[in-house]
Amino acid sequence: MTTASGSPANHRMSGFFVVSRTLFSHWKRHKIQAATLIVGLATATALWTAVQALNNHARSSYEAAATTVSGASRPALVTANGGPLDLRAFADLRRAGIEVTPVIEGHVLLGNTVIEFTGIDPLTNKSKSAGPANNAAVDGEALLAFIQPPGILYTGNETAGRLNEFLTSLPLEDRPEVIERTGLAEGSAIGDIATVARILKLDGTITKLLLPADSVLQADHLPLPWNTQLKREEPPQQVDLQGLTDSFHLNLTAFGLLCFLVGLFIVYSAIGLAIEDRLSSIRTLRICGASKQRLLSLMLVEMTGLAVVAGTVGVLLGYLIASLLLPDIAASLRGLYGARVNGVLSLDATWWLGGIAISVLGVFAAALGGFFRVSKMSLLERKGSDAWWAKQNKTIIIKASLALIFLSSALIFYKFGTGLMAAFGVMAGILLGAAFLLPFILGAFLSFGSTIATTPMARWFWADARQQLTGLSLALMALLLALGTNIGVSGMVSGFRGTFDAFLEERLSADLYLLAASNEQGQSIAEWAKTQHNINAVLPITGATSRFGEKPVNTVGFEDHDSFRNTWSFLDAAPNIWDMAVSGDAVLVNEQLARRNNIWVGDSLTLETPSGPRIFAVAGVYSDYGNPRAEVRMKNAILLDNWPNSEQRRFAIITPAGDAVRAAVIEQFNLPGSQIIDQAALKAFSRDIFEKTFTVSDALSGLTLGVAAIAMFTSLLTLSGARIAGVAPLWAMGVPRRTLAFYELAKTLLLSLLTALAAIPLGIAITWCLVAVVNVEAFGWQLPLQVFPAQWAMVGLLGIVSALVAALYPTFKLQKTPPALLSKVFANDH
Amino acid sequence: MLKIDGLCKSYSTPQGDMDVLKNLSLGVDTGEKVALVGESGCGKSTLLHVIAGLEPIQAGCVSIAGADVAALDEAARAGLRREQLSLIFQQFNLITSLTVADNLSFEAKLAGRYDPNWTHELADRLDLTALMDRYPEQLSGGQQQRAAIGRSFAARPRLILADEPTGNLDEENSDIVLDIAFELVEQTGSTLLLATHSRRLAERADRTLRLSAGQLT
Repeated sequence: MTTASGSPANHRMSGFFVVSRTLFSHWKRHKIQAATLIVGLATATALWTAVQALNNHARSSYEAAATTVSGASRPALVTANGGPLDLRAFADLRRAGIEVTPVIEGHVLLGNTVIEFTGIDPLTNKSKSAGPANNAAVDGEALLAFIQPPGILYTGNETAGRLNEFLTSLPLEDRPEVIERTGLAEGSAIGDIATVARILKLDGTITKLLLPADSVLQADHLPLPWNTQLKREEPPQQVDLQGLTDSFHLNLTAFGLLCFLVGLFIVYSAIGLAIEDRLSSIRTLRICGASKQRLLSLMLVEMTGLAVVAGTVGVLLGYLIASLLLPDIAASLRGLYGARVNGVLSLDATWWLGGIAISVLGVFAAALGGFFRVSKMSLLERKGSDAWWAKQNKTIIIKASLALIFLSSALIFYKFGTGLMAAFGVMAGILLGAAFLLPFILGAFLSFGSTIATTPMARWFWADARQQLTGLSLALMALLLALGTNIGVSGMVSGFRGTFDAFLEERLSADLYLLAASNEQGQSIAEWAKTQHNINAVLPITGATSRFGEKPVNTVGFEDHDSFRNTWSFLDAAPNIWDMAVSGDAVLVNEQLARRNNIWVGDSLTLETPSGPRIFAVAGVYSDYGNPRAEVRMKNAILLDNWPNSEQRRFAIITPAGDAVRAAVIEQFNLPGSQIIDQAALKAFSRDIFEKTFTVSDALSGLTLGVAAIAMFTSLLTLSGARIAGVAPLWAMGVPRRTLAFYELAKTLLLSLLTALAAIPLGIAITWCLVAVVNVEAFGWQLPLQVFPAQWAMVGLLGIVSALVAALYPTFKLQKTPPALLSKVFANDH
Repeated sequence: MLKIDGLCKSYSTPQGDMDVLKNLSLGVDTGEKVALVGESGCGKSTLLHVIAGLEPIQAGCVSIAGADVAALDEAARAGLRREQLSLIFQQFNLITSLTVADNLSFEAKLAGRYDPNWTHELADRLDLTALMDRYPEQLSGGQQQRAAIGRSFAARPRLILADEPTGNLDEENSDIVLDIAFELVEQTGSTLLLATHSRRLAERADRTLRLSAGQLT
């Protein structure tokens, strides 16, 4: 008779618990290993999820911006002189049966920030392009609240506070209610046209009259007198923020992936060690009858559990890192692309779950080798005939072979690949190739050291360092990746900084840059400037939008002047470049256009003009950092000939009295101060954007180094237990613990120094890859390759210090190991 | 050569202090071969470790060639090990990163008494010549113990402390190792203090002492 407790099912359960307890008890006895695994995985997940958080958040901000710009995709009627539009035009045109809706646009400055107001008329605005504000306003009571004084203003979550603060300056009865709407672009507010007019203190004037999106109505078909006073304004070409910023986000993603990989090195190392340590227990469990499937399933459960714990910690850390980096990311996206990104991180559930999922996937990837080993292991332990160095050599040769494969793939991507993914393929190939080649280089160097060592301690030092290479190689590979990336990125940034400074000096050679409200006002200012004794030259900069093939091109007109001839340098130039350009035969193109279309000096390009396609010869190619668009420059007269309706509002003013001229223009023409900027302010603004753009790269490469330091620390700490058995015989032979600790530290120093040295050529290769491959694909421009030995020294020193700091505790632990513990190595007895 | 007087040693355990050596005294003359027997856990290894300065002396006095071990700091105790004595362990404790040749000469070079002729002679006598380029993990247990013995004798120590040197070897290998070890002790005039379970081994010593309840009888 079988009792309940003795049933086969109970036996199976009991067996299951015994096996799992035996297997899991490893972590209880090896707490450092468990901590290493969790720290490594959490760090890797944190950096990856931080980057994903920034990308997701920025993308959702672009979508919000795209849906809230009122009438952005519709044609409009504006005054021919660029001034405000009389509200009577709206009434006249509606009476004439023309479907128009009035819009007021204006802004207020609050300290350093701007809030842009858009006033719409929900009764006549039939488009939903005004986004959530319009949707909310079109029905019933909400509509009444929207249009009746004091009205409602819809705004983004972050702007609401500042907007309310601003509105306190209005009389209470005029103060509209502020309602936050997720999805509205930050820095903007939308309200009824009357509400916005009150806020902007406008009286009977509007900014424009929107036409239906599909309207083909031209100004000359309007009733009198509007047919002469108004002009049709085409909708601005939709700036594809997502497309423009893709390169930026891909850069971030690549960095995130690199950090994740460096973190996985730690995880791989910890899991490998945990499996190695448990092989004998696993073998015993197998001999006792535990099936391979049961053991592997339990290990899978165990790894999943660890991954979920570490992933959760990592996702929280990632959120924190992303919050810290977000302000700089937002600033650089605004500066580079004009993209508005909310300053408060909001992420959906998929991001949180995605972070944990990547942690689980990372663990499985890292544990795959170990699982394979367990599944293939023999029940009987067989001693191999190979010595440690022979086994090590086998691993080193396998790694070196992988290195060759990765380096070859980098070469293939470089030679035959196109696009940004191929560029990252080149970089990934170089990074992984270098990492897998490192053990080979270190092994060769340490073997050479052994051959020249004469004293017994020196021989032991070199041989032991070589033996330790097996356990430390993953951490050293991670350190190499981190140092190489740091050297590479800082080399690129420093080179770029120098080039960008020279570029700003060259391009911003005029003293003032002015943007008039209209072509007419521009003309007036130009006429006035010619009469001023303290203005040496006024150089109009005309502009129009054209197309080259399917892609938009900015065309910019310039005036022939020494300030251009003397300062501009070119990447490619015809011998008589300026003469060609001013004679009307040829144009200058920016590097982005040249590289993307492979158009250089001697080639020609066809641009769309209002009167049909026109062919221009290319006389020169100029660098144009920070501009995501293709650009063509030509003499003003040629531009005006081909694009008669081009914008003529921009001017460069050359004057020795910048401040006085600026003040005079502002006073004389009632021009806002923001429309006339001096050269220094413009340069400072550009440099600020530049620095913010690279804050994130710097932060991520710094964090990668931090992860590598953790990798070193955890590896050394994990190995320190085994080190006691390694150094105890020397201690017994009369080598003091202090000396042994010194040698241990010296070994770490040597290995990290060699790694830092190996990181220099890798860093140069990364710099080259970034400036000559990735930048070209991502932004369309190439930078000159520059090297900064002082930076190598700094980064190298930082790497060595990180490794030493990582080694300090394990070494201290070794030095302080009580004799009783060391002598236990030899004890058979009490 | 070795003088021990009133030596006490205890270990802390969860159940309280456990006395391993209680007021133990011993004198060993130069060139004498003394076997130390006793049951497992009786403190044989502890006694050897205390003599070698590997573990601190809690009470009593240990003197090697006139040097009071208790009075020495760690560096001086390490110096004493280099100058005066050598240990042979049951687990061999060869340096895994070095070849047999390097292991053999390591201790002698460390002590500044390296004599290549003597080391070669030892390698010959220990039948290690063909194994000089191998690493410890490539050797059998007997070969490893012969290398460990060679390493000790290459340094010509005045005192050899051997802790179960044949504990991991089969009878045949034990005999080979012991024959050579005793031969070398005779030849070099070293003093030998040998902890063992083996009665056969103990019988080859000049005298045998039993460690029981922390005291020698």
